[in-house]
Amino acid sequence: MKLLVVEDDPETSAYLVNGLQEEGHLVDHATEGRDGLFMALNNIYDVMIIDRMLPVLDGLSMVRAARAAGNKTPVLFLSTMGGIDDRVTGLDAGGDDYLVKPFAFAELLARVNALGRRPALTEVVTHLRVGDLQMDLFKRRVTRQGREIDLQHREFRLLEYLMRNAGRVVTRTMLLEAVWDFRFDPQTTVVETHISRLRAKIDRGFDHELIRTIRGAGYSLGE
Amino acid sequence: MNLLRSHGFRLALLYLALFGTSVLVIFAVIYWATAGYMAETLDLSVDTELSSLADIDKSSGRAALIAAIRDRARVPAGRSTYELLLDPLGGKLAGTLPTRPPRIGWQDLPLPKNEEGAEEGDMMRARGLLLPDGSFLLVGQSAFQLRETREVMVRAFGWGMLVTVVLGLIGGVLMSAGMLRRVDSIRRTAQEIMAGNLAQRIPTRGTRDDLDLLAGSLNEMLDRIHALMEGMRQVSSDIAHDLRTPLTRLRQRPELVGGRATTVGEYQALVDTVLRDVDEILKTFAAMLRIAEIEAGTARIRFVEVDLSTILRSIVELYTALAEDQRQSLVGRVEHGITVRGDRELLTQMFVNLVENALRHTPAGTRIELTAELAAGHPVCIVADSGPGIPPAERAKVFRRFYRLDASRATAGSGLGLSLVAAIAGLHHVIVDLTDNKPGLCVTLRFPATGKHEA
Repeated sequence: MKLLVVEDDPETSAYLVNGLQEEGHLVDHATEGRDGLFMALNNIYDVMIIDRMLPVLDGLSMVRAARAAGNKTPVLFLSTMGGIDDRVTGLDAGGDDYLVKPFAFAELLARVNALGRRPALTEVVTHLRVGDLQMDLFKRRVTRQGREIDLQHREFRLLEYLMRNAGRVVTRTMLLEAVWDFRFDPQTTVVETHISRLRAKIDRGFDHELIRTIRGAGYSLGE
Repeated sequence: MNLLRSHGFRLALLYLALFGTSVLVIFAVIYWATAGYMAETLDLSVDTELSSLADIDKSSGRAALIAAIRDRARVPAGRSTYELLLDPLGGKLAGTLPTRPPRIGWQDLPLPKNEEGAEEGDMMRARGLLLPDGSFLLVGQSAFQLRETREVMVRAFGWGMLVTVVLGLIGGVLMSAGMLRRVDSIRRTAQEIMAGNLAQRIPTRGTRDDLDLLAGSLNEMLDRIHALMEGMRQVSSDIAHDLRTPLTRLRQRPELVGGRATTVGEYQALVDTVLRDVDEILKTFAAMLRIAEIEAGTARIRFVEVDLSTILRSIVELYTALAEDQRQSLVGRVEHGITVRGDRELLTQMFVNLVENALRHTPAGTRIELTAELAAGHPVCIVADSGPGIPPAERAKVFRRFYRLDASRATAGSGLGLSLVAAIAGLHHVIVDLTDNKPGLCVTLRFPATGKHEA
């Protein structure tokens, strides 16, 4: 993917740019909001990663300006820790996702990947398929190798999210947000519990596992 | 502060100037109207006299005119009309005025000095008329009354103005002195606070006037600032005391393990541990900042109507599986349609912390209940468990930052979970009670009556 990183702190931006390049992304970098806006409007990016606090033009204003100019590139905001209302204002300004510093790189990567291949809103999907696992969103039926799997409401949504993001890493907080609409960092293994229950239903008794645990990051569904 | 430079006094002066100007304008209008009217009356009276004498001359002849003029001159003192009749050659025929060259029309002439009350320089208003035979008739009337009236008016106005200015100045001084005293007391308080006496407050009189209300608001603001500063102080001392341990550990581990490690695997393990330690510290840090920010209360401006029932149901649903895996049970009894004004994310965090606390600090077999109902319009939520509970003496302390019961020191956690609960509850005006569940702990959260509380 082609990414734009707008971050003024040299250490953080080096950390971001190097990390993302190692993952095979093409990364452009700007150190202040006005340059960032200029680059955003003159290039086509898959995702923009923008710090809230930037010199010359702050991140919020930069995204507002880009949105006003018709730019629809997904934006991931970065903000300093503690901020409790930053998320709302960030999303209001036209951001698509939000991450509070300090963050684990795996979390950032997972979110950037999720944003980058976000399907267009107009696209209506009725069937999802990953390997021998099939999901009928219309009839709310899940089958693997033709065998029907009975899932509860949340389990269905959990699997749906994993399938929509098949092949990509999704983190625990991403799952909490997508499936339960909660935004907090659990101090317990609550997400793991749900994943292991889902695993018991879709992986137990089959020759290979579809849900894989990615150490230090989250989970990934794939063959 | 200098009285004459005070705002109140300047205001009084400005008002005085404005008032004085309007008085001046009113006087000018009255003066011109009155004086003009009197001058007109005078002219009219001169005219009437002149034409009546001219009529006598015309109808009864010159002798009658001379007789009439002499007649009029005999009227005793106090009269103010003067006549002069000259023959065509300029000789005086009759009249009380001295002979003078004939001039036709309106004129202002010096007044003969025989009139009572008249002064040097007083004038009379006169009109000269040429009679058909070429003789000259002049009639004049003293204008000294007009002059006197004008003087009286100017004098009266002058005094009035003087009194106004003096009263205005006295009023201004009194008013601004009172104001100044109270402003001075505010200023003195501010200076004392700046000097370090943070407990100082502005004295109020209890009169509930504007300055009193201002002083009250300032005092409330000072209280708030004081509380915020206390919070800051608390946070910094917390950081000093409670981050030292993990930071020390962070430093010691690489030193100890790093000295012994020889393989890549051992170093890798060390890096992982260090990363975990740092993450813990950062998490604690973020939690402290979050608490401080919540306690600052600014989040209230973003409060919206939040569906508490749905949040609580979701929490129960989310954690039931975990409870089952730990051989505990989580039961939710949540009434439908309970809404409160608040911040959805923070309220979620508050209940999650309570439920996670119960799940983490109680043994297998514990039953945890989350109930929510409306009691007389107040949403009341209870998180109760049948675990070991908290001794009564410790209950008040668990909301303190980093406070941990001895029994739970071994379990992971920053010791900030309940502080965060207390901060969020405070932000939402929720009263939190810890009671004995016999056995176990019962946390009761009483929300303010729905729809009635504003931030």
